[in-house]
Amino acid sequence: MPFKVERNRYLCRRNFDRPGCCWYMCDNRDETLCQNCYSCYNNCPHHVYEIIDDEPYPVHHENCVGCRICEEMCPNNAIEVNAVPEDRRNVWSLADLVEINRMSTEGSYKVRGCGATRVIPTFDDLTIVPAQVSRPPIDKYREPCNTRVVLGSRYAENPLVIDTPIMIAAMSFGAISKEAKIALAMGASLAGTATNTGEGGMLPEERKYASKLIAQYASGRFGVSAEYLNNSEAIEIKIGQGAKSGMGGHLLGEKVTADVSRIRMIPEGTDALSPARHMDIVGPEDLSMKISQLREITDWKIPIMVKFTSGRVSDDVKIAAKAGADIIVVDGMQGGTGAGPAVVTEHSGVPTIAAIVEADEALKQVNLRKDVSLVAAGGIRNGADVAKAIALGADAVYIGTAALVSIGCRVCQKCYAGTCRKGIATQNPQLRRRLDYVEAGKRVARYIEAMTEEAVMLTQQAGNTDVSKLEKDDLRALTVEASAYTGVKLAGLESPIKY
Amino acid sequence: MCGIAGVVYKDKKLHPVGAALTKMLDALQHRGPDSAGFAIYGGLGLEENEYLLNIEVKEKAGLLEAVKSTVNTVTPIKSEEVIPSVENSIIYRCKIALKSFAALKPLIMEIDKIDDVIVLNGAHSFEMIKDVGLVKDIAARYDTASKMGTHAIGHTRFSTESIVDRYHAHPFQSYIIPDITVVHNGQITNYWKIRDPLERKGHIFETNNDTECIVHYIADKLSEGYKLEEALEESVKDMDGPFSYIVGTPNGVGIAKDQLGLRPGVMAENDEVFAIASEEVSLREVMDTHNVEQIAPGETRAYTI
Amino acid sequence: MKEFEIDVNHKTPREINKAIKEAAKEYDRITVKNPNAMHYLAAGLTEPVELVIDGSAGYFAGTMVHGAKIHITENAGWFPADNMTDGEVIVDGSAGDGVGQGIYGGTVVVRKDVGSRTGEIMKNGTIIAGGSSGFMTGLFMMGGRIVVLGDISEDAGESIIRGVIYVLGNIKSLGKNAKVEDVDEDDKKELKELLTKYEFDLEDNKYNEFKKIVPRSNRPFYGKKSEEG
Repeated sequence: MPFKVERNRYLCRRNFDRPGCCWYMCDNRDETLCQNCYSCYNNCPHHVYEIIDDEPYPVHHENCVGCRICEEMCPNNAIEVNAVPEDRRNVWSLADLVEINRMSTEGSYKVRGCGATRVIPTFDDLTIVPAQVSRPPIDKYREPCNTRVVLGSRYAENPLVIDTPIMIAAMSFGAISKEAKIALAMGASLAGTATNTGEGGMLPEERKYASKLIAQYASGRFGVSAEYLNNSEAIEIKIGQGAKSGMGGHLLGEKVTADVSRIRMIPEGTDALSPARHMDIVGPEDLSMKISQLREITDWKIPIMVKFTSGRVSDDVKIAAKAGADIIVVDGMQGGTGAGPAVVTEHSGVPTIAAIVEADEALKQVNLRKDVSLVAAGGIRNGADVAKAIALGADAVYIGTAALVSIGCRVCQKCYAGTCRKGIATQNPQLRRRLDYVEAGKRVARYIEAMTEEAVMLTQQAGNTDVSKLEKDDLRALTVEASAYTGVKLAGLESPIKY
Repeated sequence: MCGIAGVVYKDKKLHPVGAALTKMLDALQHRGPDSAGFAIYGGLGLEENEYLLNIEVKEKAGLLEAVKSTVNTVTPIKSEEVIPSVENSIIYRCKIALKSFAALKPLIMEIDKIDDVIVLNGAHSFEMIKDVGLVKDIAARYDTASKMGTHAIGHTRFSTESIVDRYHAHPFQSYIIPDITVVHNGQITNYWKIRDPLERKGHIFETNNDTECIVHYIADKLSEGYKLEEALEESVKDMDGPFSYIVGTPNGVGIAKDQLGLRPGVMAENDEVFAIASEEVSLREVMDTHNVEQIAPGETRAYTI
Repeated sequence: MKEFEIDVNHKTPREINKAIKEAAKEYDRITVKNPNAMHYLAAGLTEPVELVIDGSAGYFAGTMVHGAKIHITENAGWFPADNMTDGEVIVDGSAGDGVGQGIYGGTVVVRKDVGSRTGEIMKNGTIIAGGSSGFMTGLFMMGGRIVVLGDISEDAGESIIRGVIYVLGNIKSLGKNAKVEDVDEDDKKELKELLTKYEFDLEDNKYNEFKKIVPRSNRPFYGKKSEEG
């Protein structure tokens, strides 16, 4: 979708008598230098602005992705960004023309952050059916509803017990800043849930502030040791992630600073492109051996999770379950990333709602539904998504991008560049200073708590007293497609659309 | 996906190869818990044109009689045996004679038309044993320890994309040429591109399992005059994905590994025995393994007696 | 020296590793009898103990050890010393693929041949192969050193980013981002010290025959062309 960016010159010029007019998120508070503000120009991640006659003008509209960071950061509210109807002549949209032009100039594919941007069936295509007299609704204000979940009690001596079925997904130190890692750890602890190291090793501060921390074990094995694994509450073997299914982590050299290189033990400034698969997990028996290996190292104490992108979900889930996983994570194609080739993000994987149903069904088929916990990820934003994911078959969910949005992310897709204006996806000390991690930690917690409350309300609407008791029959599909994808009854028809 | 093993006694004489392979497969049990199978060559002692059929029959009144009468209309049953199996089915084994090998596949297809009946295989020079469950249970059920032969291949299965049942247990057999079997660890990712030309040539596929595809591919190549070594080398060029597989033929075994070497394969030999397997732990069951050789990516090996 | 012996016949890896880890606190040297090519032996052993595996070990022998010295008297399967952070794993026989995969420190020695992908994703530490090493040796190597006294197969040093592979025998072909350089006096001195320490007796003039494989660029995929060379 193209955007039109307008800067109101009059508004922009008002209040210029303030000391340091660019006080807002300014990294150079020098009054004498600062005649004009340039916040829009400085903070736009996509070079939409140009300086003409000492004034910033939004010139390159075609570059705008609609993050509205300029709008948010303008001290004078002089900027307005509006989506304009897409100009599309049959298959040819403006974006296609711009992208072909870029490819012809640069000769390379596009790398970007965040998840798929095109329209994909989502949780919005489903609705919760409220209870009336056939079954009674539960009173939100006076009656209790459980949100506590136990994950991974199959073989682990110490399963993961969380107060809300919402966990924070893997985002590595390197991809995001130390401040962002700390904020997520604090937020998770305040909300009584778990966060995840991501594949970049364990930051001491993160361990300190996270009461429950999942250690990710990914193909690059960055920062992995016996101590790393034994210092966590669960291990997540990352086979794949929704945003770049079938590829490993991408941390571009711009973000591999001294700190990051030390924790990962890789050279500074080089690209950390994790292998597409674990070198030692090529088939199902390898996964089974990997799980055994990690259990031997951790003495069978903590749960072993296996995270998949959603591809051949049913086969993969059955294999992981048979291989002895305690918890399985399926990440739908809406899942986000700090960096990935855009073509893979947009054009591989299946939607989260379909993946959850397929995974749940696969576990039932191998008779392990009760033993193995299922976590869903990919495009979860609010309590409604959480309730629907659980109703479709998940036991808990991961939030990734959404958690970052709660601390300021505007989904500008430029995470890989290391120049994040919000101090999140960057290792630049000046930019990192912009993120107040104590306040950010509280924001994460408040967001998760509010989301949990939302999920509770819908659970009670459906007549249940425990979020985990939501079931597929508590849902109705609003579109024929969503019904066919998920097997949820089509609203009004009261039966699923079956092929 | 799974564990694979093969063993050849170099002197062409009969040895307790069933017992040896059972131990080799048991050592690979951790690579696949779903099913296991054996193809034991050289010990059946059938007359020329005699064949042994293994038929899975549901336990249902009159069904076994129907099978027998179908077989008898084509050729008289010379001898028979019923092996009690699991999951409400029995294995009916019978010896028959046919005018030529070409009559075998049509007979099998005829029997397969009966509901709840499936022919696991028909063979002249090897004995096929395959079933669901653990190696030691299957070995006890079929008394594999008593089987004599010159060479054998076997498998423990960790299923991936196709179903778990006796029929989908390895080894898979092709009837394009007599008595060829394959066990396989891995996946063929250009499966349909291998299968389609073979089907267009008239070869019949019974399952969607990629191992069946390999056995038909190799059998097709052998029927066109390729040597086993050459057929194996061609397969490495044509097939994509991670794989290592072992072929069994009436006079030997061969192994091939994909070009990236993504699936394991080790071999060892001494004056008496040539053995290949997924892991050393399996080779140790048949010989001293001071010198274990890794099969390299894209490499093929064959040993014929 | 306090010694302990454990016969692991008919025991599961879980029982064996538990026994090893408990004994490691008390004893200086542990001998594992009848290992029978079993997998995951000594997984995650973090005590500074000497461990003798009297026979062959299976996959992932000594995975993630920190500080232990492990001696395997016969062969090892795939991935011996996987992800070791400190310590020593010595294999008297041959080993499978992925020897020293992802190690951060310590030394892995295999006296005979090793399989493919030796030292893949290693970040530091040392791997020595007394014999030859297979396909894609040093795949995506990020640091440390590999020494191969025999030949090295196709695509050596594929996508190597940092670190060095010393080869005495022939190099069949190089992988992307790898180049060959001659060894200098410092290299030779370093090699001699290392190899002598691990009882590889090479004549002095042999050290002149080593070649070393090093990275071309530290950003082969997303870097600028000018960074190469």
